[in-house]
Amino acid sequence: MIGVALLAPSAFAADYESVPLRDLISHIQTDAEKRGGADGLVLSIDRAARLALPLPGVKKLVLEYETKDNFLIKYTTILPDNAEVNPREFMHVTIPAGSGKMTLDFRATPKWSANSLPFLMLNGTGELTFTSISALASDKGTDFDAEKIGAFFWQPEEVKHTSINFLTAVYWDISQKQFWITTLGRWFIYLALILAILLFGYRNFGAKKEEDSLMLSESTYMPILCAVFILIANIHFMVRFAPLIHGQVFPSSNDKIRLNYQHPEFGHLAAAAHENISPDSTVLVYGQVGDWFSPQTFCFNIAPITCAMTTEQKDVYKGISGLTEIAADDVDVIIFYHSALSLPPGFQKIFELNQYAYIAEKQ
Amino acid sequence: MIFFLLSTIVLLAVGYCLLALLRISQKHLGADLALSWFIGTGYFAFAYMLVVFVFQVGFNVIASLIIIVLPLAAFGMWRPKQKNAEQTKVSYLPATKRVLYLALIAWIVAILPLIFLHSKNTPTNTDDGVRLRAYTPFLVYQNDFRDETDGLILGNGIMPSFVPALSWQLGGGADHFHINYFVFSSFFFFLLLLYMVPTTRGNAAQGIMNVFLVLSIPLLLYHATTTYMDIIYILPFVLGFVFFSYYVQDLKLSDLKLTILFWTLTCFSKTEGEILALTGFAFLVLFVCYNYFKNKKGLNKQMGVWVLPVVIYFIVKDQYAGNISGLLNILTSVGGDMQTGDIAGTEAVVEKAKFTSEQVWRTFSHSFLASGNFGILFYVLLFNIAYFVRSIFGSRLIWSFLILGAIFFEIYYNGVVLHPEWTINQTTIHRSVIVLAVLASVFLSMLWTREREKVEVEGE
Repeated sequence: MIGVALLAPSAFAADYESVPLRDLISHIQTDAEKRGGADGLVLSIDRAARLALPLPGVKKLVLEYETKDNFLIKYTTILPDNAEVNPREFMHVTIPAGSGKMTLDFRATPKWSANSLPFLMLNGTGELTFTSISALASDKGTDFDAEKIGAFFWQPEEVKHTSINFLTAVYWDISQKQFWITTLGRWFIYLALILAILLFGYRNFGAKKEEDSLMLSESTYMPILCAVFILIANIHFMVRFAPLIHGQVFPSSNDKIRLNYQHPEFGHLAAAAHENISPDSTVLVYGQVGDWFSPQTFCFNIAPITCAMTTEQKDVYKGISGLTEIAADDVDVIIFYHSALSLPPGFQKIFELNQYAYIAEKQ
Repeated sequence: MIFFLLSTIVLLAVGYCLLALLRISQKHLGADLALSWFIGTGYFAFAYMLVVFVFQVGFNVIASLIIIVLPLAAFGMWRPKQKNAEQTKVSYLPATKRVLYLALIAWIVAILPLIFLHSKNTPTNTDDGVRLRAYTPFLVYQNDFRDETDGLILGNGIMPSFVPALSWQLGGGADHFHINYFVFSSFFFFLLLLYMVPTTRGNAAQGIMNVFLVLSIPLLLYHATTTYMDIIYILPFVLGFVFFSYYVQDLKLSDLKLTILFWTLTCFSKTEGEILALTGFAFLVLFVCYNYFKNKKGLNKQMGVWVLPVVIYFIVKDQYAGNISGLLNILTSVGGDMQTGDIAGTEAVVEKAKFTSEQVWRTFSHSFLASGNFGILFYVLLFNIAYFVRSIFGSRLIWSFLILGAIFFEIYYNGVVLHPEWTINQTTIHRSVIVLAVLASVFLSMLWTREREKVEVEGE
């Protein structure tokens, strides 16, 4: 009801409508510290926060933001009576430090419906200010099934660690769990069969029966038909893949590291490590238990500088693939990333993103 | 990037000298340039394998200089004098259906820059990439050769381990994006060769169709933007397949040399590369025997020299990474090991027993026909095999078709028998199918653009 009230002016509109932030703030559900300011809705996030917006059935949100920190935002929809989320349902956007605008399309989330609510996971530490929120609301005439099918069909590819093994299998009709490629493949087979029958008829009953005509038919029409269908599949794939392309033309290696990892906080810290740590250093990465990715990737980004990873205090630490061994006493630089460990005495921060992500050097 | 470009020029120069000395020039600058990349990188990797593991010298500037200068000096001293030094005149577009091929070219030209940008800008972000595939060049660069590292370097492959390190040596520092550039460069020259080889033989239609179809494999395009090394063994294997198909048709010595060369290069990346290469060599031996018994044509004795590198490669690798025993383990991991009670073999069989034939069918059919990792390529392939079955079985295309079948069988055997825990249960089946998709692309373009052959009738 609250959501309807907030969106009432736009209940029957097809355009984006501005959501009054002052009214919204008291109704959003979040475990982040929130306040309304002159700039907009300010969220203070400590590592991660959840955010549910009282905008039932909203199709898209355009959020303008400002921040001095780096965030990874994962979003999906939830149902009012069931807030459980399957991690696979999330889509993500990155918010590097600065100001900008992001568009979240909730139609391509499994639970999107007239009652569903937008749900965001905000990963990062610091303040994130939404200066304006505009919503493309659903209305009584919205065909949720049809729009969902279309949204899923054109949903941008989500690159994950598993993408090296397989890309997202796209549904032609999500409601029927009918895959796009299966559908296109069937159409191809049907048309190819029709073509084959026509060519057979032409070959046996047509006016020209010379071998050249036969060759022309076989070597002309079948490849053309195949190429057309393959091109259709290609275009669909590239439309979905294009938004992900890292299209910088002449970035430095540090800029690539900073901008092109999925989590901008990781990217910024890795780039800072790449820039600030001297080649003769002995580096130890303090990582978080369960985080198999970040510690070894920090070491990789500063290679061949001697580097090891750990989640607990030891006398000897090991590096990538266990090939490097460093004694605790030899460590002169620590990359700290969401670790439960404390910085040893004698180390001073030389670069800091926040209290969970920094680089410290032995004095 | 400048130092990577410098290393590219060096490797191209080395490769160009070698291809002239080996008399395998395609007599066209574009084709020779692309060939030079593979020959130069393969030679560099192979030479350094000998330097490091046989002569125990290590990765250093002097060794690199000697390896690079040797072919240049040999070219200077023994450059073959060609009777006809003219470049092959080619028509880059087919004579007919130009609108269709221009449309395909437009697509190719639109896609390639996007792949290039994403490839050069995306930092390594996969577990295997960080721990192994993109890490072994750092071990080489640091001269870190010991028992613990030798196995990793040789397991990842000498090509991806040694070649990127050259640009770091030239630049005096390591930049892991050079590994990205190495992958994309290999992909680019592969596409160039796929286009130029048929075009220089008067079949531009096949060249364009080759590139278009290969660029229609989504998972391959994604791999071309990462630092995984599956693509590094796929490319030379497919090129070997192309030259093998030409050799089967025309029995030219130069095609045979290039087949052996490319299947040797296939060994230089990952164990999968070795298995594919051995499959290719098995078919080459089969065809040679068939040709001998059918046409009483034997092999030129020079070919013994051409297979020497791959023999040396396996001997050295076996010494330092237990290679041959490793391959035998893979081949016998279920049957033989069950008898000895080996745990790995037992687990594989136990896992297999959990999977019904319906699950196996569902996994394979999803991968080939629904996942989208290969577009609709396999629908097109299956239909065209059925449609052109008489042409395939009545011509020498049968040899190419048999290789496709053998690779499919190996994927099936690996996925269902050897490692179902990683394929039926998990996801690596799609990655193992990429090579089949690329082969299928090349096979389809051969099928569509071939000249009409006399159907070989039994007893003819």
